[in-house]
Amino acid sequence: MQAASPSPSPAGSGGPSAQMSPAVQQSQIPDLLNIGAIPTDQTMDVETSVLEPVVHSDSFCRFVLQNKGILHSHSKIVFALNMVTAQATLPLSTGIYGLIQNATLKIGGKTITEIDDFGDYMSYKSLFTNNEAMKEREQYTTGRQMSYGVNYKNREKNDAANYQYGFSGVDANVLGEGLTIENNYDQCVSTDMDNSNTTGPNKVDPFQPTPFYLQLSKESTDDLPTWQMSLADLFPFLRTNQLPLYMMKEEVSLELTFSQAGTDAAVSKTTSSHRVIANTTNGLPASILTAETRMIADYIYYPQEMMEQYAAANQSLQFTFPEYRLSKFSITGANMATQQIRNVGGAGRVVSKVFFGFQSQDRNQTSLLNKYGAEAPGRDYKTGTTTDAGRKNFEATINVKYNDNFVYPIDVSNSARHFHNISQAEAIVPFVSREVYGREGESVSGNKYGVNVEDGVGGGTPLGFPMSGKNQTTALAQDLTANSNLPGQMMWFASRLNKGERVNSRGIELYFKFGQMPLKSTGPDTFADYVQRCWLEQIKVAELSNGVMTSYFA
Amino acid sequence: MSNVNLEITPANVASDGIISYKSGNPVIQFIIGEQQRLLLGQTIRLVGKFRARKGAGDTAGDYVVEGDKCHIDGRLGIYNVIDQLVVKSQSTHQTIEHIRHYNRFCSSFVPVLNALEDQTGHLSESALTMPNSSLAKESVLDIPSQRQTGNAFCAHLPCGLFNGANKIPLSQDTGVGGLLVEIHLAPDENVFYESDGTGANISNTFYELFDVSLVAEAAPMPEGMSVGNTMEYNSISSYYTSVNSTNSVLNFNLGLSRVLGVFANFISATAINNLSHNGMATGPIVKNTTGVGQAGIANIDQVVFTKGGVRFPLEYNVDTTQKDQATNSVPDGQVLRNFLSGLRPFSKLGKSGISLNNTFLSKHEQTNAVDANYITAEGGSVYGVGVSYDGISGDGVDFSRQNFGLQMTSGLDTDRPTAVYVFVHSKQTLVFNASGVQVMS
Repeated sequence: MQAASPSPSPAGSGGPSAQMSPAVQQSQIPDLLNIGAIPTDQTMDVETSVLEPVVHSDSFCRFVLQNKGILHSHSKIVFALNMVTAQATLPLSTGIYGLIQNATLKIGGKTITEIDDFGDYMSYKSLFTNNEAMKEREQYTTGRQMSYGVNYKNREKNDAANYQYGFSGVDANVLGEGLTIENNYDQCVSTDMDNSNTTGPNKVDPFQPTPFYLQLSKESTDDLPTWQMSLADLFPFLRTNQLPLYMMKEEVSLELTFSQAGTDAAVSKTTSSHRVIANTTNGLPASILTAETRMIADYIYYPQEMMEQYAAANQSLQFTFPEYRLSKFSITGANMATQQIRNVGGAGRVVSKVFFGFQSQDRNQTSLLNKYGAEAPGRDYKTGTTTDAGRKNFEATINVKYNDNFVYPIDVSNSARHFHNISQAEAIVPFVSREVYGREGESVSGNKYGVNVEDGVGGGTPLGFPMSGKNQTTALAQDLTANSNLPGQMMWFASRLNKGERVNSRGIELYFKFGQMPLKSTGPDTFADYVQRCWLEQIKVAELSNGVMTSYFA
Repeated sequence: MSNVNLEITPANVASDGIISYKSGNPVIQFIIGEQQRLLLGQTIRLVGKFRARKGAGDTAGDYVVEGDKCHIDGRLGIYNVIDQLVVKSQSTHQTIEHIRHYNRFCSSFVPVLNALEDQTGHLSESALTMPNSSLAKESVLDIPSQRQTGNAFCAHLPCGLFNGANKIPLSQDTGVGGLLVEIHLAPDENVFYESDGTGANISNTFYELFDVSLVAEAAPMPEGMSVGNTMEYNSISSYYTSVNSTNSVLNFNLGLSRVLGVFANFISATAINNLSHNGMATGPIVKNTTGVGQAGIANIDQVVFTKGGVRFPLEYNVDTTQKDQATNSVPDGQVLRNFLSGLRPFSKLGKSGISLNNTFLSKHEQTNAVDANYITAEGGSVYGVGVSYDGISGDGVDFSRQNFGLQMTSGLDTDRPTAVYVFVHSKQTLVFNASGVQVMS
């Protein structure tokens, strides 16, 4: 944050003690709100308050902050879900963020920033959490576990793909069968897991188990896991700025609208839970355990004199931050095969990047990522032989146009280049594997991800989600929703608008064409419906003047 | 003016757009023309599609399919096919950077500076890596859409000029006068290898690249802006020699005045360009191919780096664990640490794919057996020697007047020439004006 303009006289704020001492120059007052090192040795006190929501239902909650100190941006909000009756866990890529439909920060009743379809937004943002963090931290804190590891073939007993745990063959521990979810749990085998044991006692079916701390079916509420998310996740501008609550005269509140809890009717788009995954025929509603919801707010204090000096010297503060505006529309998979041009808005705004993905409406709680994926174009790896013209990875052809110019001189269709464009837009690589991103190659294991229950007698029988359609024998079946849960499920697109110009009144236009989307099971020409979610990173300005916060687009 | 995305197609592509070493088109040239812009080196990517074939025809038997025995080095992915990277001034054709044995450079660079999670993750998408031999084959070589769409890649080209933070001025008057980027492709025999150590079943296997282009982003050069006429960048120089005795002495006149680090990796000379062996393997020195595991390995007992004949920067001999315990297959910690520091100072080494699983002393060439590098976990053996000369000032050490030397005492007591690829990381200054460019080493 920085002072907006030469500061007026400090009259009217903070009383006499807030007057800057004549001996203290403004340059001597450290920037207390900018996250980073303060250039002088200072005493800093952190006071932690546990706040209960002032309003809480299964669809909405509101927290009101106390106007004291400086709010630590990584203060946490804790959630838990009630016990469910079947094998369930959180969506693997979004974790507990799938609980949030909308996150809004209001100051004095005015919306300063908000993100809509927050779970989908975090599905994209989760690409940038590296595998090590997913494995070693996030699965405990947010329930996300998209870390990839090699499924070694040392568990294979013989070439007939009969598996036995721990078998050490001649190629032990060196040959990989495919990538699997690596969550600190070894691959398991389960005899006759899918009732297909017809060939003898060695016929076993390997699966990657859900860690017990992520299972939602427990024997007691006391055993239920809790998860947390930081305020900086909900409101990204807090990653670089902290809120000087003590300088604000208005009420600061966080409003969270929750995603669809689901019903126990047959799973469909309207009955599916958006909060959990459960591979069951009927829906598995997941309600919030409201008694566990709370905010653990850290308030930072510096020596009183310094905070007063800072307030006196910065009675008018101004900072810019990115605001993520959602633009979405529906389209059938069939129509995506023809050139589409869609205006996603942004007219008159300073937009630094756009990112978007197409999310299948057939994906629901019976999918490993729930609905929080981004579908890649289809592929056909089974038709005919290698020379068959139908055997291909279909391409996504993308370009972005604004201010009468295309961002790319030639439309981009190479999937690895799409991936590169994300890296350019975000200045960090997405931590996602090749087949999971662009549905290219067959590197994801054909094994299952098994979600288990805690039933006191050994965990019961896991309900599995097939990770890929590698073992499917027909082109049609290979990438059906029920058979394939990871390949091509994270194909987000991003483009940095690198001209440094304000978008003109025509707005931003997305040009896209997908060779062919995956087919549905009911026929050769049937496609799912898709929702394109596109976020525009727009630059917004917030001003704190005499304790009153306002915001507007730059 | 604003930034622009550039997409450049090869200047020498054949009419069908397909590029391969086998078809006599081993060099790909990209011309980034002179213009009033600053090239952002870190945004340069080689884009295209890769496929593996068994014959020049167009039948099902002409494309590699599941069940074929050919492999590629999974750590390298698309970097397998790049033998040399040359960057020249487009207007004068003066060479700015030339890295020979580029794939051998990457075979140490990739696993040392990227974690396994990077190799299975983002590098698998951008550079087709997969740190497991069978998984690399499944993912890349066995792709069923080989003929139609192949394997898409969009790979960064690690080199000093492109890795630097400085923007590269492309103008003729105050810059390099455009760039000419040449990629020399590697022979098919050094890209593929057969898993059973014979090579007989993959004798006609070759690779093709298609839909190839070079993409980059360029920033405008503000009018009146003086960018100066010099630019500093880090560079990689490569040297090749072979050793065939228990006392191996390497001596090079580097001619470089600001050397930051040196590293070297090894492979038996017989395994180069040999379909029976992985030509990108970076295992320990092998003295004979009988036996498995550590048997047949020529243990390195002592390593000494010299400058002008004097021990430098370590003023002592590095005696390894194996000097006292010849059967100890655990890599010597000091040799390994110094090797890593040769690529990046140890204190600045963040992620790495190095572990005991891929550094233990295990032979990567065997007689009548599977190539051990094929079955070594976590991408295969990563072995080498090296040393960092400057982890503090960043200015490097002057080797312009004194020779670089590496002396190794090893168990190489058989007649088995071993190739040593030496890579030198140094700082260079590019001087440019209207009459051309000059590299000050």
